[in-house]
Amino acid sequence: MKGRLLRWPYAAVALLAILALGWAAATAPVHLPAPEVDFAYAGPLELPPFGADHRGRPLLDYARQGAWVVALPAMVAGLLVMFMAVGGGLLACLGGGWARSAVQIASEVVGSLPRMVVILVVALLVPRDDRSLLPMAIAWALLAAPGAMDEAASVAERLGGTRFVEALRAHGFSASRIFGWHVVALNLRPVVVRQGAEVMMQVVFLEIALSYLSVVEDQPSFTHPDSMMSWADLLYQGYRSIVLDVPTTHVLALGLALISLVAVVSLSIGAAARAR
Amino acid sequence: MITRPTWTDEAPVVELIDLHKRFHRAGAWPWSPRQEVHAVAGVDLRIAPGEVVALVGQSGSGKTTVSRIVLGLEEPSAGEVRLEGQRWSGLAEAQRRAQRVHYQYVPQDAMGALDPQQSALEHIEETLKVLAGLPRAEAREKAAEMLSRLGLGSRLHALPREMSGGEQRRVTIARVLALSPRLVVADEPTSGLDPDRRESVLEALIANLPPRAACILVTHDMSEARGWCHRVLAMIAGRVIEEVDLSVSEPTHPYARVLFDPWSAPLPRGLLADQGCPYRPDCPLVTAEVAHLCATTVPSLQPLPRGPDGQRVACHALTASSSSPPPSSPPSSSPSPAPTP
Amino acid sequence: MSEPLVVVEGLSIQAPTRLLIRDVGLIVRPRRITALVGPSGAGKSLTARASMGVLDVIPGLVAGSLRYPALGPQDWFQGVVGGGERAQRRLLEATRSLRGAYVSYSPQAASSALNPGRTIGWQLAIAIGRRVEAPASVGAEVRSLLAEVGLPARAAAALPAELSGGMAQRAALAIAIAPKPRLVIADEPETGLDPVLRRSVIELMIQVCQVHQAGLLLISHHQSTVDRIADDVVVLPAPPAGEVAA
Repeated sequence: MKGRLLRWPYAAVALLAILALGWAAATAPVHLPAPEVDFAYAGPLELPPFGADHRGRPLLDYARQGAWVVALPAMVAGLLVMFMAVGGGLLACLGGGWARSAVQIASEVVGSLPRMVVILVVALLVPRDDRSLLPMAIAWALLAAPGAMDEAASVAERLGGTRFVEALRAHGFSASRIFGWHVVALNLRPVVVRQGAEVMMQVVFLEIALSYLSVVEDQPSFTHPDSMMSWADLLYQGYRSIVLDVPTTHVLALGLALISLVAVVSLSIGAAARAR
Repeated sequence: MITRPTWTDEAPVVELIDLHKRFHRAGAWPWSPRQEVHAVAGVDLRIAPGEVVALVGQSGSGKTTVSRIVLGLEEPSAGEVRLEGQRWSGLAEAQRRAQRVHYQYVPQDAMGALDPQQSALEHIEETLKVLAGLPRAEAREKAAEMLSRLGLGSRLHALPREMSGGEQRRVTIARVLALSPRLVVADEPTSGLDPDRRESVLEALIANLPPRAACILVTHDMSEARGWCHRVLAMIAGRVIEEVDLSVSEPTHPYARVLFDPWSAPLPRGLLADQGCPYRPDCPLVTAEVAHLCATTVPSLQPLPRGPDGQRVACHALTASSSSPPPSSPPSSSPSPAPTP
Repeated sequence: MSEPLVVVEGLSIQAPTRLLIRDVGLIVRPRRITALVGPSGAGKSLTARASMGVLDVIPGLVAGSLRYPALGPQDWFQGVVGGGERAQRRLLEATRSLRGAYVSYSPQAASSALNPGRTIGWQLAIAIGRRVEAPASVGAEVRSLLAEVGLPARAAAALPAELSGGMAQRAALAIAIAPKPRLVIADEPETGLDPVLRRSVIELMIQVCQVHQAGLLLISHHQSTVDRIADDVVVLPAPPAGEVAA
């Protein structure tokens, strides 16, 4: 049975990566350590595991703080989208054509909204003292949800919708078996998990983009308190190695590696839950 | 011809008592008046253990609605359904669910009844584990055996999308038969299949029915039903207009004859009368003596004056005492002569 | 005009793994009905398509001749036998102008004949456009064709999905007859219809062909239909056991 719900190689990869990121987020220091001139621009060999920034502060802490900033909001966003997508799929099985049309219309209207503008508006509304990615992540999830619901609803329709439910009901299966196992676990699972994983990845990228903007403008970030570093800081400092010939290539490398890791997690989760 | 034994002396498996079903069909526009459709207009039926009964008619005749009411997929507007002596219509679904194991449904849309994420074997295995309470290993073994018996031995691990229409149909049949039900209602089990496959699917279904199980076969092709049924009930406009055993005699009602062999009688134009006999506009048997009856009174099913036992027809002209008996020879493959009024 | 419309002789078509049809012949005469019967997988549709010059199997044609005596004496399969894909493609092009104006094909499911995204009227107009002589008024022709097959005039504005099974079959017939072909090939038009509808569609097909003085090649599974209406019957044998998809 397990073989039908999860593909183990992908699930293992996803699990390992999530554990690594989770450990990083959980152990993130509240403040970066004090600068140490001796270690300025240190590479990974001089100061394992990742080296140090231009002021000698270990990049590992950057990584851990950046993970802390995104971990909870990304997960909340992913779960929110999954939950709503399941709802969309179940509605298509239970309701008549009106439910399907409503979801479709919502999906088109919401999908036409300029997403980044909405997010920035939310960002500006968040009080300065409570800066966090969470409100933006939730807003992002709500903007992505109708599309996910629409996709889940069309999967449910392809299943046969009410005909499928009726045939299984006539056979003698209980409602929980029909909806819990057949509709949700076997058929909606692939689509819903992939949507959730995608939204998680998008929220991480959103955070990096917003923080990068703030760093470039030398403004306080929308998404995290000033004491925290985001992965965007890694990218910004590393970018200077290309433009200004500053020895921060290892910083850039770490930033890109972390982003790739998130992409790997998202894709692995989607692949692990893939349909037959 | 069918050789399944029946137990007509024993209590019937299915009893339909004066069944009626009215639908409201929405008008063309939101403000148009809703039309009332009398889909089933007084059907009485008793099916004995072991019997296979065919419900034959064109679309709109009410045959599908009757079959759905039998299993409780629709509720009748009036009348009662009893299964094995117990009242079935009007019960809450929660009360019926436990009994559904015994009264099974083979839907017309086979693909729509299968889970695209489960193989053929997994479908039957699940049925046996969940509904028959078998342990996993035994369920798997019996599932494989059931599928092999229906000719799917090499397709155990195929997913529905990898199977042909006939194979999908056999999986739905296997799933139903695995429970050894006492009643099987099959809704057009051969629709969408090549003619060569139709025979084999019908055989897969009927030959593998448990011995005392009753079966209702809904179809629009009476000649197909011929080899596999004890009785055929022809329906039009929500009523049964003839009940006949095709191994003993041929249909006598003009419409039933057309359903049996469309080339044997004049083709009906399809206009039905609202009052009196619904077939009157197309009926060639309306003579001066019965014309008034045909126009005012709906004929009820009566045995033919000199016909075989068990054959009943709803026709004023045929059941009047002056009509001559229908030919009682077994039906041949060549076209049959027109009925003598 | 007693020349046959199509004469096929000795037709044999080869697929990669087996010989699909062997030594098949058929003739369809004007205003006559030839029935093509046989079990599933025997190659009925293949034979029908081949008689239109459509060969879509590779290696394909290994023997046979195809003549349209009403048009001329030439054998269209000459040069195509054993010629492989190239030759078959050339034949397809060469016979393209014949399809529609001379021979018209109505595929097995009416749903295959009807474009789901276009109205019936639009599809009829396209089919009418394939005639040898353009009519004075396409709209009037559309209405007259619909009337001929027993569909109401407002069906011209309907999409295929809005039609019932029997009506869709009639619409497909109207489209097949719209270019005024000399020969109509109807591939299992009775599929999925109840006995009454079956007979009315077949009778309509015969009537329409009589009116247009066309010949009819009918592929059918129903013995009662074939017994009643066919002037000639071509029987294809069953394919070797175990080689037909279940």
